[in-house]
Order: sequence, then structure tokens, then C-alpha cells
Amino acid sequence: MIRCAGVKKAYRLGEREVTALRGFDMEIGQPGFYAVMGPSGSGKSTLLHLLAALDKPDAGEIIIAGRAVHSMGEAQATEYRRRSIGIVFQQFNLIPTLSAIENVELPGLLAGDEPAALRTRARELLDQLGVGERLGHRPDALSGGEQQRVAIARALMAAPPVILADEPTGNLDTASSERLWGLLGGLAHERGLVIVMVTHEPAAAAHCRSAYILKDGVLHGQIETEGLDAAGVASRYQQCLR
Amino acid sequence: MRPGLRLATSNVFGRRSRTMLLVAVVAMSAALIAAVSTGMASIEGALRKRMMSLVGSADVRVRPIASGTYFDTELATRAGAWPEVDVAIPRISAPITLRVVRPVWKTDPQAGDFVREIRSLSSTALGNSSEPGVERRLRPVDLVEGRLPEAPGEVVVSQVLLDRLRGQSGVAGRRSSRLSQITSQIAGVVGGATLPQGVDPGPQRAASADDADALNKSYDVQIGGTIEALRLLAPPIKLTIVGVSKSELFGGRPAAMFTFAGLGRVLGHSGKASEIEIILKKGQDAEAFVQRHTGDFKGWPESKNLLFQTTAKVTTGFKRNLQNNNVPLLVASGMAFLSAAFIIMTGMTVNISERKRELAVLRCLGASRWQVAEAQIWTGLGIGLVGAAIGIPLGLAIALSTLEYFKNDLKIEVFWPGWSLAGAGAGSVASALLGAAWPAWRAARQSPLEALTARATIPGRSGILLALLVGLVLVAMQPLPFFLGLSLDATVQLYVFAGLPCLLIGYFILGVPVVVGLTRLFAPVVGRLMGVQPLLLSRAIMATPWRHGLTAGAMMTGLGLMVAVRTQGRAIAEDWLGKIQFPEIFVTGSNLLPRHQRALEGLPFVTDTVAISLHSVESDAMSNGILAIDKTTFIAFEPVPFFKLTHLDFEQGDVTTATRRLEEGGCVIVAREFLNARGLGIGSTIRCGYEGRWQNFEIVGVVSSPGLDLVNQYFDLGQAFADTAVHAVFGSRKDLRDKLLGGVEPSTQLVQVGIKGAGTPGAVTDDEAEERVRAAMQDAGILDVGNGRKIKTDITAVIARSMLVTSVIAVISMLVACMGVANLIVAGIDARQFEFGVLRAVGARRGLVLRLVLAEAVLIALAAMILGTLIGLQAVWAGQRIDAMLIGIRLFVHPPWGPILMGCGVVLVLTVGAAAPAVIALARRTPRDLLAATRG
Repeated sequence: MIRCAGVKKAYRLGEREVTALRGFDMEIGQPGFYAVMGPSGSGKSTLLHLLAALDKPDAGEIIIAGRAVHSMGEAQATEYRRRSIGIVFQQFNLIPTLSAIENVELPGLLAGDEPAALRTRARELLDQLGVGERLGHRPDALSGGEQQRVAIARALMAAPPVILADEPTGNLDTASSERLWGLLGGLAHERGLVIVMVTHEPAAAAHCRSAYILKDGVLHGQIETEGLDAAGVASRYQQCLR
Repeated sequence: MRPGLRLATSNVFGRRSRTMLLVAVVAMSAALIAAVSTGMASIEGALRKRMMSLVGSADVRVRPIASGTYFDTELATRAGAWPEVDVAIPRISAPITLRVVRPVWKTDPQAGDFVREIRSLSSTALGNSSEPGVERRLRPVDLVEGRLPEAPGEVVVSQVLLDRLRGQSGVAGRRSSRLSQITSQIAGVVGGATLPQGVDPGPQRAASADDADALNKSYDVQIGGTIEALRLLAPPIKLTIVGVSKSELFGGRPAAMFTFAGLGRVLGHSGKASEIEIILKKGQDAEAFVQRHTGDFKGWPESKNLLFQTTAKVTTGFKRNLQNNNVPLLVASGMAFLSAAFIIMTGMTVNISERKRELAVLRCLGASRWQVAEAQIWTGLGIGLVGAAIGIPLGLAIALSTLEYFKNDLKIEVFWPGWSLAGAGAGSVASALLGAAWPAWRAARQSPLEALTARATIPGRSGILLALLVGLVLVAMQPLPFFLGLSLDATVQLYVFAGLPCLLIGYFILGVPVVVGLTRLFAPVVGRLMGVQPLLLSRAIMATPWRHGLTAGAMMTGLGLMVAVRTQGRAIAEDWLGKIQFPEIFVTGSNLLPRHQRALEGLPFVTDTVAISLHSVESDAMSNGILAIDKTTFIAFEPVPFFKLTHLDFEQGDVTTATRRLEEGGCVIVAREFLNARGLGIGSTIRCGYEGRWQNFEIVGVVSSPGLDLVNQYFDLGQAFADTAVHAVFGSRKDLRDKLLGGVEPSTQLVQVGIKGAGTPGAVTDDEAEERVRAAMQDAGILDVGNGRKIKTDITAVIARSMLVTSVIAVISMLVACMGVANLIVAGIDARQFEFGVLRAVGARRGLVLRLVLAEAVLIALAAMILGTLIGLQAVWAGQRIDAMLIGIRLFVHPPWGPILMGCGVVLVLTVGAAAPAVIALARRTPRDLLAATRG
């Protein structure tokens, strides 16, 4: 469902050129909850941006759900982000002037979908994610965990086959984080989704099927994390990096 | 609902206070334009109505070449016999003096009650005839009460004349317009007069104030009451008031209406007319009719002294001037809306900048570039529509209140400027859309990736240098039209439609480098003065120089307007008005006779008199399309007595040579505006013409203005405003009569009176001289008595009032810009909440954070002061060049630094004041709240 082959990406930071990915390869063939881990500066966020068609690689291929993401034009990329993927950000990134349900409806609104159908689906998603009582509240009236669940509902609105999550629990406490990882794992299993989560926390990866380890812009290894606890993941991660 | 519209709606309602600030900008701009255009439309409407009252709806008219003369009504019968004529009506219009003698009960302090005194109040007025039937079709009359005269002894008085005869002069005690001042002077109160026969004088005394009031009221001049028309060397004629008409609009004099026979009897010209008005049958062309019957007309023995012309000839120049008057309003509206567009653009761009992450998220979720841009366009459209909906009615309300407040002085009715109001609405929407265009482009261009990475970037120096270059180039383009060697019309139009907008846009853009430069130079000083670390202050501004710079540009426009108006006003007062020598005392009338001069010379304090004729002629010297000036006033006199009494400053030539050459004939002296504007001086030739008789005149002197042409327009002699002339030539009566009027003796409209100098036995002050001349001449068929010093004071007061009104407009412009400042400060605080939280967290006191924000406002104000002063002075410089080119008035830029400094002070106060509410709100927030601002 996701295939990256020889992906390279460099960008300018002030006066220097930084190479984030140096020929990255990855293949995810089955639905599931996957982690992408690596030290700071390894290229994790850059990879996510490329998968989300927010940026284009300098070289290589990215194929997601049969679509060549690496060569999309502006209009195609917009359509791809609308229908084919969902994005969950670290900082929730809900629109502050919209209510919870309006935030969830947003992708459908942008796609021009029928408002009544949007409302029904949004309500269902929020109920399923446990924030059905907070539909009309604006983000500043929701807790961090509630905001993140609204963000996940928004990502699921178009029923995309792939969800990309960039450190989704970075701003949450431990208990909320645990609940959220469990939620994401459950969604992947129940709906047959591929959820790719960038994280630096072994506890997060412990909820995943496997973890792809990046180092210096290339895939350094893949570890099976299913059934492991946080300590186990951390140990395998350290071994992989060595 | 379209996604873009939905996004716009959520943005607008989600940030209500910020949106309302931008709506207020548009609303106030629209209100300003609506108020000014309503005022101008009302003035224009009043002028048109006055013109209509002068010429009526007649197609053609016959009138004397020399004003104030009469001819037999039989001519109307002859004209009426022509087959194309529907009706030909004889008419009289002439100055008269009306008087009321009545008892007045006033306090007797010794007796403690109220004693009766017989008083006389008189007023000059313009008497007009109005025959029942057809003539009232020509000139419909608005009656306040009563009816029109039907018989010779009946009269209808205008509202203002009624007030004069009641002893009221407009709003109590206020002499704010030249005409109310003049006519209140005319209403002399003379004790010791005699009640008309048959009028009950009432009781000798009244016991109480209430009784006295009731008695005074009962004898007030009103419908059914009796007044008298004064006649020279003949007993007064009793008249009964049968109606009260609405006063003449805008500068018209008090008027009284009679039947034709009635006015003829008053004037002693029964059976005579001063004009014939001809209405043609339907479908007849007036110009063709005049051409066809000119031969018949010239066959009349009386035709030598008469003119036979279409009324369109009279109104054409007037209408053209009115049309041209709309150009400044158009330009001013354009400037106002351009300013509003810049303010909205700055505000919405600030909005885009602070919503970077939000816009990035939208792009991540699948919003297309167009949808993001569309949201900005819808926001702009909404701001424009709501702003117009609020602003236009507000502007109308302001105009209505102002016109109502000045009702008695200006005598203007409200005329609704339909097209201008539609233009104000369209301008509001256009300015908001224009202001939204750049933010829309910015929003669409934003890369979602760049926004998500949240890296702080300092704007590059190249952008600021580019702004400096572009700004300087645009500013330098403003004076360019004057150096291209184009025709006068082309120069003015290029300046108005290209130069002025370049000036405004150039200074707006220069706001950015000016703010940067001021920050570099004065951040240490301002920082120290306000107790803020200069580094914090300079970095705050340098992070967003465009925002700060464009906001300074918005604040500058009001100050620029004030600087321009005050500087120009000072120049007019010192360089122009200050150099005019008005005649000390003068008497005006439509046809003053030698007996008037003899009566004046009989007064003990009078040394000399000289009769002066003022006649509007065509001239090729100063004509241009912009002002439609093709008329000049030919001021004619006997040279020797004139130069004996009037001491002119000769810029070229001398009085001895000029006197001799004028006596010889074929020569004129010109005002120095001819030299300034056209380079016409001694030895040059100008052509003057009247009714097809054109003559060359050699210029034998160039003088500074003796103010006689101003007096001509000031007292509206000979319907001067219909024959608008800005300049005058001075020549002999002989030349006027023989070369231009075809041998018709010109009327004397003005007699200049010389009085004994101070310290001479029998000398009096000019005020006393004026009063005594007025008392001596009031029943002699004169129009008015004038005092040169008072005219100058009046004109100065008018200039001062105009400057006050424009200064108010300038302050309103600054208030509009304050909305932009407020929006910027609020946006800046919102965007920097985390930064302020960090400052507080590391030990900065609350006061430091607040002073930091206020210090930014101070630097914006400093930039606005510099920009506003420079743009104002540059605009004045160009305006004075245009004055010199169009009308030859040479003015110089001497900035009135006192008012300019005051204006700068206003800018500082308003800018800091606009920031105050946001600063107060910031003061209430805890460090924790500020630090938490990054979440969600």
C-alpha cells in the first residue's frame, strides 16, 4: 500500500544545504499501525511530508494506494490530500474559529460534499472516538486529548486508506497518550487502514505492528514491535541503531 | 455554501472585533465621501436653483447691455408677435429699499415697567416682478405661507427679508456668512420715525414683561401687515404683505416679489421693463430662432442698447464650471478609498500572517489555492458591503446635521447626490476588494510545508531597499507633469489622474524604509524614554517592517491633508489676500447715477468719489478648458479721478504713463495674474470682446489687484456668478463704451468713496463712514454700502472656516487610520503572545511588555509625522503651481509650523490611543495564559 524507493530530499536551511533523505526505501504491504522512529534530524518529518504530498522528493518514487505521489502536480496533490490520506499533527491544528464538528467536516466541505451527509458522518466519528458530547465546543474549550481525538476524526472523515500521524501525542500526558495509541491501533485493525506514525517514543511503537528505523536519511532497519512493551522496543531500537 | 465562503464566514465571525475594525475603516471612508459629496451636491443644487431663478425656464431673453436701465414694454408685444414665440413676458428686477415703522416696548429702568418707542427698520432687497399666470410657469415660487401678489399694492417677502424687517439677522448674533453680515448691516434701526397713518400705536406703557412681549409680538411684521417701499424724492408707497417665500439659496440676497405694475410704480418706471423673457413653442430651437430674428431685432430703434440672446449662452459656462467642480471630489474620493484599501490590505495581510499555521492546515486537508484565496476575497467583499451599509447612511446623517446647523447662514437645501452615493458604495466595495487582493494572493502562495515548520524568518533587506527605490520613484513622478512641456489641460489632467495617485502610493510604500530608518536611529532614544530595552524594540519592528511601515502610511494621510490645507491657507492669506488693497468705502448698485455721486460728495467727511463700471467681457488672455474661464471683468473708469483716489502698485509701468495712455484709448492695465500665468506684460496685446465685437488692447501697466473685481463677485453685481470671471482688466469708460458696447453708455455699478485721513479735521473711522453713507443713501436705490477692511475680514473668516472644515476631515481621516493601527497592534499582540509569555517568565515586569507595545506605536507615529508633513508640503507645492498656471496667482510654500506641530501631536496621541485598548487587554493576561497560546 505504501512503497518508497530511492527517495532523496535535500533543502536549504539559511545558507547551508541539508540532506534529509539519501535514498530511502520502505514498503508497507498490509493494513496496520506502523511507527517510523529515528534520532533527531534523521529525516522522519521530511518523510512524512513527502508521503503527504506536501513536498516533492528530489529523486526516487513514492507510491501510495497505487498513486504516484512523487510526481503529482498541484491540483492532484490537493485532491490526494483531500481523499486519499488523513493527517494528524502533533499540535492538533484544529481551526480555532470552528467547533469540533465543523473541524471534522472540513475536508468534506473543501471537497464540496453534501452538508447533511457530512454532518451525519462527522457525528458518527466523534461518537465513536468518545467526544460525541462535545460537538459544538470550540477547540479552546476542549482538553488536549479531546482535541487530538477530534483531529483523528477529521483525518478519518474521507475514509482514506492511509493515515499519517506526526508525533500525535507530543502534547499529551502519559495516560492520554496511551489511550490514543490504543485508539489508533484499534482503528487500523478495525477499518483495515495503514496508519504511519512518526514518533521517538518506544512506548508509542509498542502499540504498533512494526517500526521503521531511520538514521542519516536512510532506512537503517525494521523491528517487529508487536507484543513488545516499551522497554523491549527501546532495547531493539538501540540495537538497531548500533 | 461554497467552501471559500464558509471559510470566510468562520474567519469573520470568529474574529469579530478584528473584523469590526476593518469594517469601521471602510464605513468611515464611505461616510466621509457620502458627507462631502452630499454637501457639494447641495451647494451645486443651490447654485443651479439660483441660476434657474435668475434665468427661469425662458429660452431667450432680451436685456439691456447696461445694467439697471429700462425699456418700453411694447418690445415684449413685438417679440410676442414672432410666430415661433409662445409667450414674451416683460419683467423688472431692481434693488429697492423696504421699511417698517412700528412700536416697540422696551424696559424703562426708572419707572420699572416697559415704555413704547417708535422704531424704523429698513433693508435693501432685490425686487422682482412676477405676473400671475404665465410668468409663474417660468419661475415657480416656493411659498412658506400666504399667496402670491395679485394687485399693485401687494408684496411677497422672502424669509430672510422678513427676518431683517423683524430685526433678526439669521442665527442670533452670528454673522458667519458674508451676506448675512451685509444685510444685517443694512437693517438699520433709526429711532424717532413716524407710524404710518391709520396704524394704532398701542398703549404708551406695558405693566409687565409678558404684556410687553405680547404687544411686541402683535406688531411683528407678518402676513397682512404693512411695510413701505422708500423712494428718492417721493413719498414711500405702502405695501401689504400677502405671502412669505423661501429665501434664495446660497448667497442670494433678500428678495421681494410684486406684480409688474406694482414694482414699476415703486421704481417710478411704470410701463417699463428691465428684461423680456421669451418662451418658444414646442420643438423650436432657441439658437436658430435667435439667428433667424437677429435682423428683425436689429431693426428696432432700441436694439442698440439691448442684447438678444439664448439663456443657454448664460448658463453654459456656469454648467461647465459645475461639471469641472466634480473633478476634485472624484480625486478626493479616489484618494480616500485608496487609503482605505491600503489600511484594509495591511489589516488582512496581518491576519494572513498570524494564521499561517491555520492556512497550512487547510492546505494539508485538501484546500486548493483558489479556495484559500477565495476566502480572503469573500472576507473583503463582506467588509466592503457592511462598511458601505453603515458608512453611507452615517455620512448622510453627518451632512444633514451640518447643513441643518448652518441652515440660516448658508441657506442650502439638501440635494441628494444619487450618483455620488452609488459611487461611495462602489468605492467601499472596491477598496475592500483591492485591499483583499494582496492577502488573497499571499494566502494562496503560502506553502503549507513552510508554515508547518514554524521557523522565524527575518525579512530580507532587499525588500526594504526595493520599497525605498519604488517609493522614491513614485514620489518623484508627482511633479513630472509640470516639466513635460504639455498643454495646460494635459498637464492638469496628468497630474490629477497620475501624479497624485503616484504621490500617495509612493509615500505609503516609503513608510517601510522610513520606519526601518527611524527604528535604527531612534530606537535607543525612544527605548530609553519609555524604559524599554532598545534591542527588544528594534527587533520587534524589524521582524515585521512592512506591517509597521504601511500602518504609518495609513496614519500619514490625515496629517498630510492638514499640512496641505494649513500651508495653502496661509499662502492665500499672506501672498494673495494680504496684497489686495480694497477700496475703503464704496457704494454699489445696478445703475448708480451722477446724483448718487453728488449726494456722496455732499457728506462732510468725503474727499473724492469715482464712478466705476464693471462689465463682463470675453477675453482670449486667460481662457482654459479646466476652469471654463473665458470671461474677464472690464473695470472702466475716468483715469484721472480714479488714479487720484486709488493707489495701485505697478509691477510694470507707472501711473503717469498709464493715465495718459488710457485717456488716449486702445489700452488697458492688467492684474499681475496675467503676467504670472501667461507672461502678458507691457507691450503685449490682449483681445477683449462683447457680443461679437472684438478689440485689441495694448497692455500699458501691470498692477496688483485693487480688489475691485473681488468686490464685483462679492456683491454679485450684474449676475456676476453667471458670467464667472476670475480676473480683471482696467480701462477707460470711453473704450468700454465705444469699442465694446457699441456706443451704449455703461452703467455705473460702483462708486468708490475717498474719506478724510485719520487726524484730519472732520475725519471719521471707516466703520462710522460706512454707517453714515448707508443712512444717507438707503432710499436712493442703491444696493449696498461696503467697507474694504470688513470684506477682507470676511474673506479671511471664510478661508479660516474652510480650513477648519478641512482640518476636521483630516482628523476624521486620522481616526480611520487609527482603526488600522489598532488592528495591527492587536494582531501583533496575538502573534507574539508566546514571546510575551517567555519575557514575563524570564523576569520582565508587566509594565515592560506594555511599554514595548506602546513604544512600537510611538515609532509608527514618528514615521507618520515625517511622511505626513512631507506629502502635505509636496502636494501644496504642486497645487500652487497649478494655481499659477490656471489663474495666475503666485503663492509660496511657507509651512505654518505651529499648526503642523499640533497636527503631529494629534497623530501621536491618536496612534498611541489606538494601541491603548489592546495594551490594556494584554495587561490583564497572566504569563501562563500567554505561554499556553501555542496550544491548539
